[in-house]
Parts: sequence; structure tokens; C-alpha cells
Amino acid sequence: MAIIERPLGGAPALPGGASLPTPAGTYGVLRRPVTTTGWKSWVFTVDHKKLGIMYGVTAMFFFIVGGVEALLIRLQLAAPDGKVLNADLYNQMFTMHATTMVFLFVMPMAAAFANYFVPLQIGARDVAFPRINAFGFWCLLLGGIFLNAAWFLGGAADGGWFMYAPNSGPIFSPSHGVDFWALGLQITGIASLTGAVNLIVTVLNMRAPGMSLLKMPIFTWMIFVVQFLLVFAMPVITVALFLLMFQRNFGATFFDVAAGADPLLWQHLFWIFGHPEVYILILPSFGIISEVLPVFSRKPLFGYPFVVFSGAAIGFVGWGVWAHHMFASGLGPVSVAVFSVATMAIAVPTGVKIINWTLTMWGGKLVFSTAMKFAIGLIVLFTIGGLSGVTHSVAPSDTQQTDTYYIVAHFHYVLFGGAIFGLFSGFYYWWPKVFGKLLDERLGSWNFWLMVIGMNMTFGPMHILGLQGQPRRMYVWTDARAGEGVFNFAFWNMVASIGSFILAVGVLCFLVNVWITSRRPGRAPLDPWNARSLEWMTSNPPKEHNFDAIPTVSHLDEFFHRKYEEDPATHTMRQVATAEQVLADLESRADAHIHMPSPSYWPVVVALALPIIATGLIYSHLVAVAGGVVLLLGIYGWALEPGTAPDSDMDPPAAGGVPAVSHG
Amino acid sequence: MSHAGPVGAREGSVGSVPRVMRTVRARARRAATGGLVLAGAAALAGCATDAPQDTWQPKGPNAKIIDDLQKPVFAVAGIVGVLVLVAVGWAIWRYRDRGQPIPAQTHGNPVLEITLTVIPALILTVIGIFTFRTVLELAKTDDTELVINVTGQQWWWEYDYPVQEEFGITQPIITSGQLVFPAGTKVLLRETSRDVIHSYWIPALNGKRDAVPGRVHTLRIEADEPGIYAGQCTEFCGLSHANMRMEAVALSDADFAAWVANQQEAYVAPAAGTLAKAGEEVFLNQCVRCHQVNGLLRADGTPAIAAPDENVWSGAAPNLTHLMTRNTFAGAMFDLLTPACRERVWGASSADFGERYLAGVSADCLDENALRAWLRNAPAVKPMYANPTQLAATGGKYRGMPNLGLSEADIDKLVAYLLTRQ
Amino acid sequence: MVRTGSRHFLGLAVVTGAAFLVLLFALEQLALAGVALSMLVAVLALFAWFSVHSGDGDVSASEAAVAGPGAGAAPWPAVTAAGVVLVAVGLVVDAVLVIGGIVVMLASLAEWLVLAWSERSSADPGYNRDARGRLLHPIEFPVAAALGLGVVIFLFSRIMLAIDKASGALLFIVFGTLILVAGTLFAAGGGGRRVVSAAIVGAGAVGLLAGGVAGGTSGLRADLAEAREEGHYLHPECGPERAKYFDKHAERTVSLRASVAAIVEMRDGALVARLTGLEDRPQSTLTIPRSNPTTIIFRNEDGTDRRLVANLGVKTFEDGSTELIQDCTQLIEPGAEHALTLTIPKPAPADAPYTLTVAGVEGQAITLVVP
Repeated sequence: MAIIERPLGGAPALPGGASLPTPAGTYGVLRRPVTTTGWKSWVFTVDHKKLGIMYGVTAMFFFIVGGVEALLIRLQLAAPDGKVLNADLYNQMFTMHATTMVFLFVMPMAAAFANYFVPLQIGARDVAFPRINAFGFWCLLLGGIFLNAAWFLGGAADGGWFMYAPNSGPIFSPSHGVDFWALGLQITGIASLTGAVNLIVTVLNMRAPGMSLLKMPIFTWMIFVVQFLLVFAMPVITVALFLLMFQRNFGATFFDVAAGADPLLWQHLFWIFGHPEVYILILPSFGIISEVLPVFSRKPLFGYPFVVFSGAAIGFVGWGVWAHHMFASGLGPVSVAVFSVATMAIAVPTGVKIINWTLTMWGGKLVFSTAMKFAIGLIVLFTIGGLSGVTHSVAPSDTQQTDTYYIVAHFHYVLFGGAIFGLFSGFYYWWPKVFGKLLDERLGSWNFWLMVIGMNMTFGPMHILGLQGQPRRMYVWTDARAGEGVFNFAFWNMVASIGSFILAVGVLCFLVNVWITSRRPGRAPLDPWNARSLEWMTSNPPKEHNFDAIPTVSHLDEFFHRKYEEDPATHTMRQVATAEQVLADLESRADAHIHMPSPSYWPVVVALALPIIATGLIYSHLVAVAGGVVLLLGIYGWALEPGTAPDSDMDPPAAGGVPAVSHG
Repeated sequence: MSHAGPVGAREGSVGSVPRVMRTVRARARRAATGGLVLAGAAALAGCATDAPQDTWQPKGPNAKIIDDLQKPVFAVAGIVGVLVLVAVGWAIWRYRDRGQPIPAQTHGNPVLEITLTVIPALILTVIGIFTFRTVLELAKTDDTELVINVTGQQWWWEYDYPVQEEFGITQPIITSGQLVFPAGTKVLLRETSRDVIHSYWIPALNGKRDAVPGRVHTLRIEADEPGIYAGQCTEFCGLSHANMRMEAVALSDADFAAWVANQQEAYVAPAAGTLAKAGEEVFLNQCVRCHQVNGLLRADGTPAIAAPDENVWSGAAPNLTHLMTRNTFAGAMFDLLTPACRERVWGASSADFGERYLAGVSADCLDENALRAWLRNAPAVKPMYANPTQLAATGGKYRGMPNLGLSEADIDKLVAYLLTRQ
Repeated sequence: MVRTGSRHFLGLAVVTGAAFLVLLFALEQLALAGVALSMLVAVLALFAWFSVHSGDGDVSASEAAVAGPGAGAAPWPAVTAAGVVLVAVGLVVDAVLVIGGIVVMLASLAEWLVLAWSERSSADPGYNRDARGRLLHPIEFPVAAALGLGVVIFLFSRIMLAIDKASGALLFIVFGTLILVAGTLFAAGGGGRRVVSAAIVGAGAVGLLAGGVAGGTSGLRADLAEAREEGHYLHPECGPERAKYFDKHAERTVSLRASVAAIVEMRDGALVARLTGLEDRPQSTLTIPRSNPTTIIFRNEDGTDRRLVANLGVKTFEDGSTELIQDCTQLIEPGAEHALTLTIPKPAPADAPYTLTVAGVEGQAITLVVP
């Protein structure tokens, strides 16, 4: 059994027999929060696994919030001249639905998976900067709360998640909603940026011995690409949001035509961020199903290097296509044509992935677990979304389709059928790893089929609605433009609204599943899926320090190759060791010294300063100054605090001199 | 799924055949259903309804060019989609776990991989070439015949026709709600906006083009036949975005000339003593603060010049000189025609259309309910920023029409007066 | 016996006395300064006397046993005294000094309190230092950094505002390089290199100080001083050129280039308008929507300097006097362009349309129609 060390040495003897005061007595509140149980162990933790779980819970909460917003939207649009919401509330609803789902659900949920599994998959004990990791989480949570606080303070943002200028300006959106939006996104943006830097450094520096970049699990690879996208994309939206904030709160004129500005500046900034953002949302899910498909096909990922490089290619080309969101904004024909062709080009690496997933299943031994079903669901639904994307990469057709429900259908197939199905696949696949419990497969099946049916009923008809000419972002539609016959706006809108509730029931099945299985006795087996990568080469859930001994990697799919060997005669695989044996072998060579980072107050303190500053910018600049002081002090407190707590912070060693207390 | 055990932890113990078969059948069904979504969308959108804003029913050459491009692309996408889904479905069915041994751990096949990369790239290259051509064709402006300036503001469109003698336009014409133009003529719209970004979209005539404040964007439209074509602002423009509609009216050359002539007619004041004359007074007291009626004189004989710039944030309000030649008001949100009369116009054949449209809104056809509701309390029927308590940001200027607090008697007079604005 | 506490008051009394003497000779407001300071000296001396005799604030013998090494040297008595002097001097000279003095006093009070607390927290001086640092470093470091940065920025800005643009760029490069070199040497470490880098930093600090003082005393460079006088950012009236440094290159900004409604061109004595979308069909009429900021670019292809003037009617004042409403571009050289943004709230009277003309050219006009 390995020992997590605290610095050695008992209480130093003092002349005259006096002893040092205890840390608790001297430091009082300034003592580091080294407890390992209770709420403090969560709030002040720097453990990537605890943070991953907190990211996940937060994201799931916002998923429900965003989902309720979506249901209200569908209720309003179920029939002509809807009366559920008024125009103002509807505009807030669709703005916050998109904002919540993009920034507070899919991104943080991907961050949850990344936080939890990247260190495990590369055989590391934590991320490179554990306190920054904690800080990122608190920024996300506080930023998310701040964003939604606007609901109760005069109305949420109402300019659409794209927040085009000048409609987002103080004249056209007089409530504080847009202020809360811009500042809240700045705060959550800090979470993304710090997380990105952290994971890049972690992946580059902390891989297990022998794990070259091309032996890295594909999920880690996709996360790695996403972090680069974040590092370059977040600054752009940060700049844009700063401009917006100055426009609204300090009378700047960045988008004011009368002052010689051009409102299209905002669109360019927003979409230079916004398009890579799409890949930021989808690539983690690509990574997840690229793990799930090989496991349940009992075959390695087909064309691993192609998948890796197509992911990188998507990440790269994704920067050159932003203007396809602006084909109708009057860019000029040459730009439009060039961006149109560039957009088609990005369909190629995306197609490569679809082909590789299909060929991964080809010739395999397929096991249809819920995780596998969601993964296959992603392939099918994402293909539909991708192909509808090709239809409006053709700029002239896009001028007919953009800002209609056709686009809404397209990106929900890509983001719901793609990103969210991938995340659900990940839930079912990794749940036993994280919580030591298997999710119920029967409920999982209900979950999957209801979501598939609901999703196709909700978003499928939107293709038709869009082609029939129903524009987006309209709080009502009228009979006058609905068309005649049975299959008109009325029919398809009703189908979509019914579908959305089926979808909601599907999601509810997941929550019920979580609740029921959490109450069941018993633990999940060590290797329930016959998995392939390093994160399964430790206990369920993993110990605080992840691995007793850091494994040395010699294969892609290292874990699988420790369990199976190829039969030279038949070229099929035969089992040579069980998961338990592999783990026991690893533990028998446990490392003698493991140093783990210590918990800290400062990430929370620094993160708390941000919403204070933001509130101050909206209501009173004095409050902002106060928040700034807290921020500054917090940063210095943090900078001056050692990563691992010194001896004086620890409780005195227990009698007998065995350093039994771990902190981490 | 029959139990919650670890799927596949022990090969064979889990993959009991009936369960897998059920799954596979269901999956095959779904794959088939999914495969039909694109094709289904195409079929249903095209023929099941007659929606006024259908994007697959071009009524002019510009929309036709787009249509000729998009239909093959939809077909290609549909075929590719079906191929992929069939491949996935086949893999699911063929390689389900039937107790076969774990296969060799092969890592791919570069030749196959590259082939399957190059094929879609080639398809897209072909599409790209046609796209390039179409984009440039739709951007041409040098062959257009009639120029109309289109200005968007919250939440209606203003059209002004610069002087163009060849069309009989000898003085600028200004109108709103309905864009009137001659069929078979290449029209160039020069779009801009007075406040936020709007987007001009008549699906039957061309794709959409944003109207951006401070910029002038061009959009060419042309209608094959006389008729009325529906459209909708498609760039989110605030509170009443959903209520910012437009209608494009194509007339034959002769009918267009008649329309132009009517628009340029001098103002004729209502006869003294009529209800309409009393309405003119109400108009001068109230409405003229924002709404211009060309040629209208004040009691002292000076021209009544509207000052929307002092009262409305966008600095403009619809010109009402010939309100009753248009069939709609308030950003084409409300009809001036009764449903029966409206149907007569919208349902007209292209031969009858001009005559019926030029008849305008007669006293018999006027649907007074919507107009009266509007005059009674406009913000109650169309969401607008017209509440004085919300106007701090604009320095007291309205965005939209406020509640004028008119008496029922005044409304009677105004309706009578407006009915004379033929 | 002079010990920890009384030492404070004695120090204060002495320094205040010194300040009194300085004031006496340096300033002439004797009455007020004299009264304030002599009162202060008296009060402080009284406190010091109390303190000496009562032993209040001294470390007791029993505490000293636990405290081990006891109190060390600390600057805070002297800093507090300096704060008091600042307050006193400020009372005479300027209220800002009073606030500064109070801040200094409060800061040193806080430092002093924490120091006193930490020195008694254990017998281990290292541990005590650590305890003090844990509480105060997060405050001390940023304040010190902010003060230091503030001084550097202030001095550097004085230099940059005083020298001309080209030298400014050069200086910027030199400074940046020096910082980079010094930083690299620091990071690389090593005894000898540390000396070199410390020397660079020291030289830089001295240079900055000297340059800052010199720059501050010599004032703004000529063109900045001039621009400030001219009202740099105001649009000039349609008259002779008043501003040499008025922004001539507005037309080069991307936004204006992208946002024009028309280009009005003066070529070979003729004035034409090229509307966006109809560039190849020159017009003599330009229709622009009312109340809408509309940008027009004036392009001078004529042989001589020209200016475009928009004639937007006549304004009649209440006393009956009138004034032409005009807006115009700069006088621009041949081949140049300049933008003009017009917002016209009302249509022109039928008998007097709005026009665009070029100053000094007769018979050429573009009618501005505002429907």
C-alpha cells in the first residue's frame, strides 16, 4: 500500500521543554483546509476527480434549466399566436436556452469528463495546476449563477446568444440582462481558458512513461485539440464581450454607426469565436464515442491516426469558416464564395470520422450496451446533421435557409444528436468508474429510445418547417403564413412540441436511473465493459492518487493488451489475465512516495471576487473596486502559498510516528 | 434489456440471442427511418403544403438559380446519407455479438481510408465550383433596371423610389409595408437600416440579405408573373421581430405605371363638413407629429411636415399619403382588407391580380377592427417600446407607436380620414 | 526606561519637532503651522513621558521568556511618525497630504499590530516570520508592486510624451530589449550573470528616473501641445483649415470603407455620385433616407485641392437672422479621399433642395433627395 506523504518530522523540541503551538491554535482561519471529509473537503478541494464530479453536477443542473427553457419555447410555438410567453419573455427564453446549453451544459460537461479522465487516461496523479483547476470550476459555477441571476433582477439577456450589435446596445436592450450576460460569460470564459492551459500542460508533460502522443487514448487526443481551440477562441470572445461591456456601461461606441463604427465588427468577432466553439462542443463527444465504440466492438479504433489528424484538421480548418454564419450579412461575393468552399472542405475530415467509426464496428463483436447505443445514435444523427450542414455550406441555398428552422434543425442534430448523445454515452460508459455503480441497462434503454424518438420528432420536422419558410426567433407564428393542407406549420410545430416532451421524459429516465442505482447495494465490478485504456487500470472509483504505481505504456489500448494476447494461429484474441490480476500486479509495485497537492482557500476566494466585480460594474463601481481588492489580495495570497502545505499546517503526527493522515 | 448486469464482462454470458435480435431489428427500423429524414423532408416540404414562404417554390429567376443549385445538393446529401446509414445498419446487424471470438486487433487500412476521404472531397469540389458560379451571378448589379431603396427599422420596412423617369417616377415615391414593382423587370434593392440589423427576405424571389445600419447592401429581385409574395424579417431585431413582415407585389408594366401615377397624385383634402375632414384635423393634431401625408396643409396654410426624428428613436414613421393603396399596416402585421377581400387579392390569377390589387382598400373591404384596435392602443396589439417609463435609454423617444389615448369619436374620424388616403 | 512603547512617542516628538523647524524656515505660514505643530509636539511629548514612566507597551519579563528572541528592529515607529508629519504639514499646505499621512499612519498601524502579534506567537523566529508573512504578504506585495509600477509608468509616460514620435518608437524598442535581456539573464541565473543583470536593472532605474524628471520638466512635445490647443478631435467648420493635425485619414478605416452609401467624385471639373451597387452608372441625384447616418466618400480626382460641401438648408433664428446649414469634408489634395457622414432629419422644402457642391466650383451640384 502506497503512502501519501506529508512532510516528515515530529514536533521540534524547544529549549526548556516548551512545544510549538498547534497549527489550528496559531493560524486560526489562516490554516490551510486540510480536512479530507465533510463539505470543506469538496469546497476547497484541488483533486481533479472531485472537481470533475462537481463540474458534472453543475452542468447537469444547468442542462435541466436549459431544458425547461426549451420546453417553454416549444409550448409557446405549439400552436399559432401562442400565449404561454410574451414577446419579451420569449426573447429572453431563447437567448438563455442557447447560452445555457452551450456555455453552462455542453462545455462544462465536456470539462467534467476532461478533468476526470484525462489524468487517468494518461496515467497521471492530477492535472498540472490543481488549484487553477479548482479556480476554473468555481468561475464556471459562479459565472453560471451570475448569468441566471438576471432572471430575478429585471429580466435576462434578450438579444439571442449571438447578441448582434447594435441590438445588444443599451438603447435596444435597456434591461440589465445583456450586462449580466456579457459579464457572466467573461467569468465562465476564465474557467475555459484556465482549464485549457491546464490540460494542455498536463497532456504534454504528465503522460505515463512510454505513452507517446500517438499512443494517447483518442478521448484525450480530442480533448487536447479542444483545449487548443479554447486557448485561441476564448480571447476573441473575451475581447468582443469587453467591447460590448464598454459600449453598454461606459458609453463606448464600438458598434455605433453614428460614430463611424460598423456593427459587423461584432459579427466577425463573435463568429471567429463562435465557429471554433462548435467544434469545442462536438469534439469531446467524438472522443467519447471513439472510446466507447472500440470497447463494445472488441476492436481497436479503425484508423486511429486518421481520427487523430482529422480531429486536428477540424480544429485547424474550423478557424477559416466563421463567415458561413454571415452569408446573408452582405460580405461581398468573393468572401462568400471562398468561405462557402472552405466550409465544404471541413466536411471532409468530419466525414472521415464517420467512416472510421463505421469501420470500427465492421468486423467486430458488437455488444449493445446503453453506452454503445448512444454512440451509434451519435453516428446516425450526426450524419444527418452533417449532411444538412453541407446543404447550407452552399452559400446561395444558405441565403434561403439561414435564420429559418432548417438551421435550428441542423444544429440540434449536430449538437443534440452529436454532442449530447456523446455525453450520454460517456455517462453510461464511465459511471461505474466514477461512482462505483453500474447504471441500470433497462432504464438506460428507455432513456436512449425515448431520447432518439423525442429528438427526431422535435428536430426532424424543423427541417421541413424551415424549408416551408418559418424563420427562427419569432415568438409567434401566424396562420396567415402557415400554408394550407395537413402538413403545414401547424402540424409540424405540434409534432415538434410533442417530441420535445418525449425527449424530456427520456432525460428524466436518466435522472431516475441515477437515483435508483445510487440506492442499490453492491458495487460495480472492476472492469464491467472489458475496457481498453488506462483509466480502468485502477480501482472503482479511483483512489485519491489515481494509481499506486504509474504504469509503463507500450501499446495504444494498454489495458486491453495486458489482458489479451493474439493467438498466432487464428489471429483472434485470447484472454491471458483478468482485470483484477492486472491491477494486483500494478499494486504489487506501488510507489513508495506519492506527493499530492494540498487543498486551498484561495481558488474560491479569487473566484468569488469576480461576480462581486461584475455586480459592481452593473450597479455601483464602488462595489467593483471592493471586488477588485478581494481579487488582488486573493491572487497574492494564492501566489505566496506553497503548492503543498508545509509541515506547520498539518496536524501533529499521530502517536507512534506513523504518518497516517493523507491530504490531497 | 433484461438485467442490469455488466454487459460484456463475460463474453457470451450476456449476449443472449433473442435480446440482441430485438435490439437489432429495432435498430434497423430506426436506421431506415433516419435515412428517410432528408428525403422525407424534401418530399414533404415540396408538395404537402402551399406555404407562402416556401423556399422551394421559386417565382423569379434569382430564386430559381438558387433552387437549381440546392435541389441537386439535397439529392447528393440524401444519397450519401442513405449510403452511410445502410453501412452502419449493416455493420450493426452483421457484426452483433453472436459468440464469435474477439477479432484480430487491426488498426486500419490506409488505402481504404484515403479512398473514402478523396471521394467526398471530389463531390464537394464539384458542388463548390457550382456554388462559386452562382454566388457571383447573384451578386451582379450592373444589369438591373429599377432601383428601390429599402430601409428597415423596428419593426417595419420603408421603400423609397428615387426619381427614374423611364418608369414614370418624376418625384420620389415613399411607401411601406408592400414593395410594389413591375414583373419581369430586374429590380435592385439597396438596403440599409436606421437602428438594428434587419434582413430582407422574400423567399419566392431571392435569398435574404441583411439590412445593416450604416451600410448599403444590394439584393436583386425579379418576379416572373404579377402576384403577391410573402416575406419576413429574418434577422432578430428585438421585441416585435416576429411581427416584422413584408409583402412584395409584382404588377404588369401597365399596372405599375398606374400605381406610380397614383402615388404621385397631388393631395386632395376631404370636403369640408365631412367626417373625413374632422379626421384630417385629428390627424394634424396627433398623427402628423410622426406620420407624413404629402401635401397636407395646416390650418394656416403652411405644409405639415412630420417630425418623427423628434419623437421616434429610428427617426422615421410610415408615410401615410396613400395608406389605402396598401393592404396592410404596422409592418404588414395587420390586414386592412377583410378576409374575403384579402383572399380575392391573394388568390387572384396573375392576369386578374393587377386590377384587384390596384382597387386598393374600398370602404366595403376595409377591416376596421384591426385598424381601430391599433388606433386605440397600438402597443397592446404589437409589442413595442412605447411605454414612457421604459424610455430613459432613448431620451424619451419611442420605439414604435405609443398609446395616443384617442377618444372613440376621434378614432371614428381618423378611420374616415384614412379611408380617403387612396 | 526607554522601551518599545515609549520609543515610539519619543521618535514622533523628535521628528515632529524637526518638521516644525523645516516649516519655520521653508514656509511662511508660520501662524497656523506653528500652532498645529507645537500642539502636536506637546501632546506627543506628554504621551512619551507617560509611556516612559508607566512601562505600558513594554514586553514584560514573563512574556519575554516565551517570546524568546523578543522584538526585533522595525521601521514602523519611524513610518508612523512620518505619517504624523505628513498630516501636520498637510494641514498647512494641502489636504491631499493629510489624506496621504492618514493612509501612511493606518498602514503602519496595521503592520505594527501584525508584527507585534506574530512576534509573540511562538518561540521560533522563523515560524513567527512565516505567520506574519501569511497574513501580510498578500497585502504588502500587491501594494508594493502597484506603487512600483505606478512610478515606472509615470516616469516612462513623461519621457514618451516629451520626445518626438520616431525617437519614442526607438526608445520603446531599446527599453523592451533591455528588459528582455535582463529578464533572460535573471532567469538563466548564475552568479556572474546576476551581477550583470542587476547592473542593467540598476542602470535602467537610474535612467528612467533621470529621463522621467527631465521629460516632466520639459513638457509635452510640440505637436501634442498644439493638438491640445486646437481641440484635436473636433470637426472643423466649413472654413479655412484651422487644424493642422486633424485626422486626414479617416477614409482608410475599414468601417468607413465598408459602410459607404456612395462615392462622390470630382473629376475633370464634373461632380458625379457613384452609388453603392450602381458604381458603373454615375448619378447626379443621391437619395438618402431621412434620420439615418449615411456615409459618403468624397474622392478628389481634380487637379487641385478640393472640399465637398453639403448644403442642408437655412436655419432661421428667432430674431429673424439666418444661417446656412452646411457640413463639409477636409480640403483634400488630388487623388485623396475623405468621408462625410450626414444625418438629415427632415426632407428639403420643394423649392430649395439639398445639394452637394464643391467649394469654388460653379455649376456642379448633386441633388440630395431626402424623401
